[in-house]
This record gives sequence, structure tokens and C-alpha cells, in this order.
Amino acid sequence: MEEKEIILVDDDELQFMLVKNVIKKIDPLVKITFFSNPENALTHLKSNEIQKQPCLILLDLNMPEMTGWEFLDIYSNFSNKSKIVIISSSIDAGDMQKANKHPDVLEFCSKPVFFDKMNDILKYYTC
Amino acid sequence: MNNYIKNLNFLINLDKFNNSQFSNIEHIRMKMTMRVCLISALFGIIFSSVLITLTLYREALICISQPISYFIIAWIVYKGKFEIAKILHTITANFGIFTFASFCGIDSGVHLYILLGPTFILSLYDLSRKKEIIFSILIYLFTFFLYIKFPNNSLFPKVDSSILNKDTSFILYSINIVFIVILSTLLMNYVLRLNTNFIIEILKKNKSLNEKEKSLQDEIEQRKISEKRLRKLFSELQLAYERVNHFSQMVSHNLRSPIANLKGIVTILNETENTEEEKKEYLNAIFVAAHKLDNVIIDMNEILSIQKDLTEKNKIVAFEDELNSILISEKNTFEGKNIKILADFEEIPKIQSVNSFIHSILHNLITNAIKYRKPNTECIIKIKTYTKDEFVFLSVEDNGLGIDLNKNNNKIFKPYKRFHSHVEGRGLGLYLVQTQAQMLGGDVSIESELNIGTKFIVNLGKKDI
Repeated sequence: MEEKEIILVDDDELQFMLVKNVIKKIDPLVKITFFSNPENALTHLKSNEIQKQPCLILLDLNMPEMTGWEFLDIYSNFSNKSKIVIISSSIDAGDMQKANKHPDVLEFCSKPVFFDKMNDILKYYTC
Repeated sequence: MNNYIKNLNFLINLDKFNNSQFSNIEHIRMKMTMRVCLISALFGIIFSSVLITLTLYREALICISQPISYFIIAWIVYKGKFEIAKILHTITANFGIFTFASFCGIDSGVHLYILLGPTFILSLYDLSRKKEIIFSILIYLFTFFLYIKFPNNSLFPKVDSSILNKDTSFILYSINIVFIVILSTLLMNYVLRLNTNFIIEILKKNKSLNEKEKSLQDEIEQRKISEKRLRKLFSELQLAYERVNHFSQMVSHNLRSPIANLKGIVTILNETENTEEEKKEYLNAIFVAAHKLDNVIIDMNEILSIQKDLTEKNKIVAFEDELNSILISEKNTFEGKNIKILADFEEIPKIQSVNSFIHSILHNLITNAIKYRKPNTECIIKIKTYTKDEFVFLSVEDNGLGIDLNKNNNKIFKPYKRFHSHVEGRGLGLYLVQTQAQMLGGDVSIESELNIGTKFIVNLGKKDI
């Protein structure tokens, strides 16, 4: 069985800790890579563009160096793309609408994400 | 004005009018015209009978056409069609003078009567009736032209010069001149008397026009001022709206994020079996989240207090003092680092402004310069105040890491944005600097180059002292 890889892009380390622990309880075999700076995430994805993309990218919106939207603008131009789920603390209706309209975004989830929700995400969207 | 309207009325209903429709002045004018017509006709009859006795039948025949025309005009006036009568009167009078002048020759001085034409025409019409006056003047000019073209009876046979010998012609010439002077004076007086109201009205109109123009100009000036005020208010409102927007963003993202963390941690602790080690980790996470929440609330308080601080304006703030107080309070930041501050407050040592704003702006810019200094290089910070176009400027220049302006130009002054992730920072400093500068009536701009340095130029508003 191929190893599942999920990338988490979020400036909040607590979020990483939470997501990591939740996923570990659901499926201990999933490998989670954490990027606190979206720029680093993009460099990483670019360098592995041809060989292998992660199963899923969990993306935050509000980050100091680069917003999730800016990340998406650049990532949309990649030839080989992963599925993207936005997990943000935002409760802004505008963000939600924009996410639903974006062609590369599968779903918009508001933080915090619990077991049920994460279970659904992993079930439907991972490869 | 009433007269004028009545006259106009009469022009429109030319056929339907009756005598009562005429104004008083028009009645006087009609009576006068009647008299002139009858006198002229009488003179015409006398003159033609003289010509008949002199056996100049052809001239007498031409002459008799004059009294006939005058009788017809008098009749027309009597019938109330004064407008037609006026035009006929102008034609007849001018041609009459022309005819008599031609008969009598230059020696008699009769030809000089033609000079009365303009005053005669003006006596017939109200001065407000420009069209009719111009038309009549054209008739007059036409007869005048005829007289100049045929000065000496080339059109009509000449009166036998034996009738008028030299002496009588001289006496006649003198009498005619005296008559012309008297007549023209009387006519002019008559014209002025009839048109007094009209002239007064014109003067009044001019005066009220001037007054109107003046009040209009005043109004324009006032509108300009209020528009300027409105525009200023509008831009202030726009800034306030932007701040509210930022604030709502902060509530939605930054305030909610640690709360979401807490909720997540508590749920995990509650719903799953956890090892001791995991529990410890979660407990620590709760502490971190609480600390973050506290920080966000402190930030929000700082942003909100900007509004409050604005009320304590008009204090005199000395830049040197503010710098010194920052150096003392940030002693720990400076310690053990190779930092050199070059301050030049000579041009503008003091400013009338909000103390806390100046302090905060200077503090944020200096700590920023230190945070993002180049490692292993002496950090030089140049601070200067100066004036330009009535505004006070504060510039803070460093030789640090710099910011890529092409990439980040539109988000440098936005809240919670950062451009270097290696140092701790909340990304609020430059947002506060901009907000405070804008509330002082100024703004902030940046010049920066990667690896060379950054220069912030803060406009602190208009110079007051």
C-alpha cells in the first residue's frame, strides 16, 4: 500500500499539533508534513512537481508572509496539482464564497476540525 | 416693465387691440403724432399753394402728396393702428424733408432738417423697441443717401433761383438752423421724458444684476469651501472604514484562531483516550493559545486606543525627548548589539501633535530597524526631521535587510503581515505607524532595497508651530 502524504500549510503550530494528533487517531499511517510559511511549501511542492504530489493539501488562509489565496494563485499554475481543502479560522462569508467558487478548492472548513469532519475529509479526498 | 409687457401684448394682438389697451405714454405719443401730422399737413398745403401761385404745377403736385399722406397717417392713428402709423410717419417725414430740401436747394438750409431724423424716430418709439428703431433708422439712412446722391434737384426740377435772392436765402437759412436746434432739443427732451421709466428700469436691472452676480460669486466660494471640507471628511471616513474593515478581519481571523485552537484541544482531551505525555502536550498548547489570545486583545486595544489618543492633540512634543525615552525603555534590546543611532532634529526640534503617536511611530520604526538589521554588520539608523510644503516629515533610515517592494508593495502597511520570518514579530508595527500618521493628517511612505536598507518617510501632518 502506498504511503499517504498530507501537507499542512498554516502559520499556527498549535494547529499542526492538533491536526497531527487527530489524523494519527484516525489513520496512523498518514504522513503529515508541516509548513508554517507558504513560500517554503511552494518551493517544496515545486521541487517535487514531476515525481510525486501529496494526496491532499490542508491550507490556512490568514498567514503573515502570504495569504492562502496568494498561495492558490501560484499553485494553480502548477502542472501537477493535489487536492486542496481550506481549513481556516475565518468565519467570514466572503472567504467561504470565494473558496466554494475556486476550481482547485474541494471544501472550506472552519477551525477547529474534529474527528468526524477530518474523517470525512480523509475518506473522500485522499488518494 | 409693465409698459413693456403691455406693448408686447399689443404687438402680438395687433388686430384685436382697442384704445384702452394703450399705456399712458403710448397715448401721449399718439396725441403728439396726430398733432405733428396735422401741422405737417397744414404746412404742406400752404407750401403747395405757394407753388401753385408760382405756377410750378409739377412741384405743387408732388408737394400735395405730403399733406395727403399726413391725413392718412392721422386717420390710421385715430383708428388705433399706431404701429403701422409710426412706420408710415417715419417714411413720410423723411421723404418730405428730402423733397422740400431738394426743391429749395442748399441755399435755403431746409436740407438741414434731415439731421432731425434720428431724434424724430426716437420720439416715436419706446427705447425698448429696438427692432422698430433700427428699421426706421434704415429708412432714414436711405433718404439721407438719396439726398447726398441728388443734392441739387437732379431728381426734381429746381425752384427758380429768382424767388430766393441772396438776402432772403440767408435769412431763411438762419431761421431754419434756429428751428432745427430748438426742435431737436424739444424732441430729445420729449424722448427722454417718455423713456424715463425705461432708463430707470435699465439702471435698476444693471444694479440688481451686479448684486446677483456678487451673491452668486459668494455662493460659489462657499460651495468650494464646503466641497473641500466634504472631500476631507470623505477621505477621513474612507480611512475610518478601512480601519473598521481591518478590525473585523482581525476579529474574524486573529481573535478566532486561538479560540478555535482551545476548542480543538479541549475536544480532543474530552473525547479520546490520551497518554500522560499527550496530556502534557495539550496542557502546554492551552497555555500557548491563551497567550496568543491575550496578545491579540492587547493589539486590538492598542488599535482602538489610537482613536482615544487623538483627543489629546496639540501638545508640544520634542523629538529628542521621545528618542531618549525610547532608548531608555528599550535598553535590553540595544544591549550587546552593534547599533549606532544618528539623530538630526535641528530643522524641526519640536512639533505640536499627539505625544503618544509620535512616541509610538518612532518606537516602531527604530525597533523594526533593529529587528531586521543585517547580521554581523554595524546597524546604523539615521533619524531626521524636516519640513516640505508646510508638512513636517520624519525619516528613519537603516542599512538592514530591506524589503522586496515589487513583491510586497501593497501589503507593507496591512495588519498582521510580515516579510522576514526569522525574527519574532506580530506584524502590527507598520500598520500602527500608518494609522497614526494618517490620523495626524499625514501618511507614510517607504523606500527599500533588498540587502541595502530601508527608509521610512512619515508625514506628520501640517506644521503648526
